[in-house]
Amino acid sequence: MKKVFYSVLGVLILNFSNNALGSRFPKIQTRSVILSGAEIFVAETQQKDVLSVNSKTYILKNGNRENLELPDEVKQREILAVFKASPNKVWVVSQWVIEMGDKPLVSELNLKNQNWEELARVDCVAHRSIDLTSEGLKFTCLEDDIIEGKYVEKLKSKTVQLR
Amino acid sequence: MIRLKKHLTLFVLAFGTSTQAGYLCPNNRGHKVALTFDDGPHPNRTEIVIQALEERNTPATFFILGSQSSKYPELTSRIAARFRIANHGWKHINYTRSTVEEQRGDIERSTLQLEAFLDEPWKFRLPYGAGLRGDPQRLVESYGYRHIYWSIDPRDWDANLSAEESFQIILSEANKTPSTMYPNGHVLLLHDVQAKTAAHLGSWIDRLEDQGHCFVSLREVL
Repeated sequence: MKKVFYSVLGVLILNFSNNALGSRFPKIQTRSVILSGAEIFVAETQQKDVLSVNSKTYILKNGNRENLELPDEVKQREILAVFKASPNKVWVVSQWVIEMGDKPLVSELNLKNQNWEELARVDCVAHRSIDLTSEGLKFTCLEDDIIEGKYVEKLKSKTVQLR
Repeated sequence: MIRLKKHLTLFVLAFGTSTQAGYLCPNNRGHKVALTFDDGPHPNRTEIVIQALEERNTPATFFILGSQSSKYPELTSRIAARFRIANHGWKHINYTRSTVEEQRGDIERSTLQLEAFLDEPWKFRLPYGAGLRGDPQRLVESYGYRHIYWSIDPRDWDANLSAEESFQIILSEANKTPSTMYPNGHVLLLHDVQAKTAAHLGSWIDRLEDQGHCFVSLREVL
């Protein structure tokens, strides 16, 4: 399992959603970045207007930018995070955010053949964080309620196993 | 030149002021806002939303799911008695990830369930806003529905936003001039199934009114 993480030098998730939503469109809403050796993986979402978003991923390598074509479905979703799951595999976590959030989708990109595969849809519409751990991709999900007139929040974790 | 100026002034008076009057509240300061609630009814939270609205005599339109209405028919009747009801499909499927047959089934089943309650003209909001301006929206319209968008989305379902952050989005968007889509006011998207919304709706309404904004029916902004 340690090998899986060896190639990951850093995961940096910059979330600009709070600032972006109160501003004029278009705006970059989220940008996730992985630094892996000499390569920088970037996934970003732009919210064009209140009714649609547009996401893309690319690699910055030796000063060049190489676009990675996302599956059609993922292009319309907000990118929540991007992780290097193994030397040749990148995981992109995305969520539909128009009108209502759906279950976050974990997609895997095989860097050898540039193929995308759907790995999981995680029953965790509202989440506080997504972390890569030794057990897999850990979602910290939030469940809220009104109990005896008071608004309460409860956190639960769900983990997607690494293959 | 003087004549041209006079004509221009008359034009501005005739059209400029009438456009302004469309989205401005009676106080001539704040903007009209139409409240819409999606995904209900919810067995506990919808009642809290209804109470917050009734206490303030605030109009609203509920985009109800047929499946929820069939589970809670009395709650649906309770909403219909005081507010407007529109269709949000049967079970909140994503129309861009479903077949035309599934879409038709979703529209027809929800229509059968809600037909007696639907506000005229019939209004529909695509679940997840999926298929806006595309084939799914055209399909919905072929059943006699008018599709209703929104202009303010505070992402009340998003746990990463606190109630205050959601409110700040609402306020900053409400302060803007309404878009050309609905030039007569803002359409605010909320979810009566969300605990955060149910718990804070009353204070959100009060604070928006304190800022000069006013709440009107959906009809008034369309």
